[in-house]
Amino acid sequence: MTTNVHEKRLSQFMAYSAAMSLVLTVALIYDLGRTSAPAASGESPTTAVPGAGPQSGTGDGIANPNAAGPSISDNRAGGTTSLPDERRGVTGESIKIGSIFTETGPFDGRPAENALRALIQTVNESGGVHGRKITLAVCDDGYDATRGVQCAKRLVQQDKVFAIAGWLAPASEAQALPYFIQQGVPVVGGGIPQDFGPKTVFPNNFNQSRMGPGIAPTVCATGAKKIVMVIVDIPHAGAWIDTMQKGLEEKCGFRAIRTDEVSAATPDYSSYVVQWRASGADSILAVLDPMSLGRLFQALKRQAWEPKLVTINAPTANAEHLAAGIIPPEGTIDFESHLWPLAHPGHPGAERFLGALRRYYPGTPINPLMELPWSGGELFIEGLRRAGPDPTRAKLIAGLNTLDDFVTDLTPPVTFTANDHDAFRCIEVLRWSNDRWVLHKPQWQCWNYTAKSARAAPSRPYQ
Amino acid sequence: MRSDPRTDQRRAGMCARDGPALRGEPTVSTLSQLLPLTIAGIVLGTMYALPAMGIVLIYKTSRVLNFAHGAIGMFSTFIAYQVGIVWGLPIWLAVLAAVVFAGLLGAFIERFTIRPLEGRPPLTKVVVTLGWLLLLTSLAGFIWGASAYHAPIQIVPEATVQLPGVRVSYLQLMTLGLASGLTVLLALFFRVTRLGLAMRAVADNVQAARILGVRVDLVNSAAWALGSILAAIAGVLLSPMITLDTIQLTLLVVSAFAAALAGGLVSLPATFAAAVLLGVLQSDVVIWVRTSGAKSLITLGIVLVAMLWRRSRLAEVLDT
Repeated sequence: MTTNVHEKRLSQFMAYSAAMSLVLTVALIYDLGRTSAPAASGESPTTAVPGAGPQSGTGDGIANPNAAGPSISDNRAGGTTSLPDERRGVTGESIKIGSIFTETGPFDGRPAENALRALIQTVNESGGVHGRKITLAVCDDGYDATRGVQCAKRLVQQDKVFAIAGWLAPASEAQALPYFIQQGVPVVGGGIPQDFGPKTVFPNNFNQSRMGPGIAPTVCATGAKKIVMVIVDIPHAGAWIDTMQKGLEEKCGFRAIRTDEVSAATPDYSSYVVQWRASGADSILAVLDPMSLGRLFQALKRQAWEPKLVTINAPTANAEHLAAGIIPPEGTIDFESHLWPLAHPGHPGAERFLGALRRYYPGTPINPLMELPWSGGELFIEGLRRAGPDPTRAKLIAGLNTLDDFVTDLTPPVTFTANDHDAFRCIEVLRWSNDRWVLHKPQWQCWNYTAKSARAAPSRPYQ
Repeated sequence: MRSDPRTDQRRAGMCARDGPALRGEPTVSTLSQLLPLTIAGIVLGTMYALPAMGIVLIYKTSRVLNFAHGAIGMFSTFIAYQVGIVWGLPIWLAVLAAVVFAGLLGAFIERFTIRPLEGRPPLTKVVVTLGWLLLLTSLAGFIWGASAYHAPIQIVPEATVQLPGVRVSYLQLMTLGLASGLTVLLALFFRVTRLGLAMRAVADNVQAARILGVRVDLVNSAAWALGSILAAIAGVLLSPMITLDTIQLTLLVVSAFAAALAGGLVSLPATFAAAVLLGVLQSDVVIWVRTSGAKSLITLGIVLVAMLWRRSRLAEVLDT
């Protein structure tokens, strides 16, 4: 063959290799995340939005948790612009709400969706709210931010929902939220930092950019002195690390000696464990997806190292987790934003939650992802009740803003005001003991952010 | 004036977000960390080497870069899970089922979706393998649950061995031994066995091989079957270490591809060496770098360096 053909072939190969390298690079930074068990089918039709397929869905870094995003700037909590007074989605017999879940792709959000459906079915069986049944329109974002935005538009423009409630879309929440805000659609649920400013958004999770000073005392109380923090590379990982470092410094007098952001695709944590132990660490504070936590647990066991281990929203192990080898080391401390029902036998809220799931979705393993949609739905239902028999979006928002120490099934008491929707300032502290999670602290551990706020006592009973 | 400890740490090259060590505590020597991390890296590298060899085996013969390699291994591992865990049959039977399934699947893919594309551009065949990747991943998710928890197949006890500064499990040692052994065996296979020689002949010149009486179609099917069997073995061995779901095993092959590319897609010993080097670099970098992107950059860097270094060899390889 001539030299020209050699060169031509080489050029072709370089072009293919460049394309392949690009594919490899995209694949390498693809954030996969989360897990949960398969679930039974729901009652309302699911709208699957066609899109480019599963892609990494990440939002921007969080600079200002009070920023409302690229939308109506006066829609912040406390703004003076009047809210849309619409009855869209409301009929004489029903009120339609919307939600975005991940039903396809690398993260199985169907159990979370089923928890919301179970709540709605429970409410409807009791006669609904002011005589109206709740109907649910769900859109699958496929763990893709672009599809999440398409879902948002579809729910608003085609499904014409009254509000968004109980959604769980970790890959697309940051991208879809601005559209809901722009359209004046109330959102009840969620918990990314962007949720904590707009006055039409009512998050049902603690503010991850502020929780550091609240969590730090409990971390210090474990006796930890030289802490390593490891977090999966989520969009607001940086903000999370900063708030934790700030909290440790303020409340404990020291900072973590090392912080690591890891990919959810990290196959083995041995090198990290070796390095952390060599650095003299005595504790690990881990914010990882369940599978990554499992690999961390395995690496710790393999290296025969038993540091103090603190996790946030860890897989609350059931038989399925144990069988898969996701077994926390004895004594692992876990922080939960919601009450873990299996640690509260006889608790009325826990029994309601478990009872509804057992009734409508028997056999579905319980996991913490189910609690967020349930509590988001609860808050929406209560807001709707307070909105009265002729609900509008404005009345719903006004009703939610009157919640004052409102007791839900699985969360600390909730208080929203027109100026402040940062209601979740408590954590439940669990401990892994004898193959199950038990209460490490007998009460909610709470914290204040503003000196004038008297809402959150240092500790509150589980109600 | 007392200096800001955070400034001191920046000067020392540590991450600005990290706090200072307690006053008076001895700092850890970087050199003392390198040995255990290197050992851990070698073990990690063999996790990449196993699937990488299957990729090279298929490419070496059929000139197709099989992006579905990881998915084939994943699906075969789930077959082993179904047989050994769900149905409770003996583990050896589960592994055998996975291996047989993988071989048949590989041969099927070659016979009915790759062979009909003979004469088409290589990119067309690559796209077909991407389709198989999506199909197998979705099908496995449908059957066994996407990213649900699955008990792994335990082939060896979970005990560990103490090496300098690090402990290694029996399974990791087995992976290391198997990857090393397969490298040697496959190299011999291509040199001394009839099928291996036939594969090399097909890889060098398909037409000439046909003229000489080599059954090219059969050889290609055998290559795909053998490569897929390697994927299944990798999946079954690695699933207890990385958790069994539809994604992790599929993703592990990304680093395996890097090792295969670094090996020029033809040399098994070079592929093994590249995989080990990749694992060592990814492990050692933990000393200095705290972000997840560094490992990805290392992988990409190895690929680019290898491609630039082997461009003349690659040009010859493409001259078919």
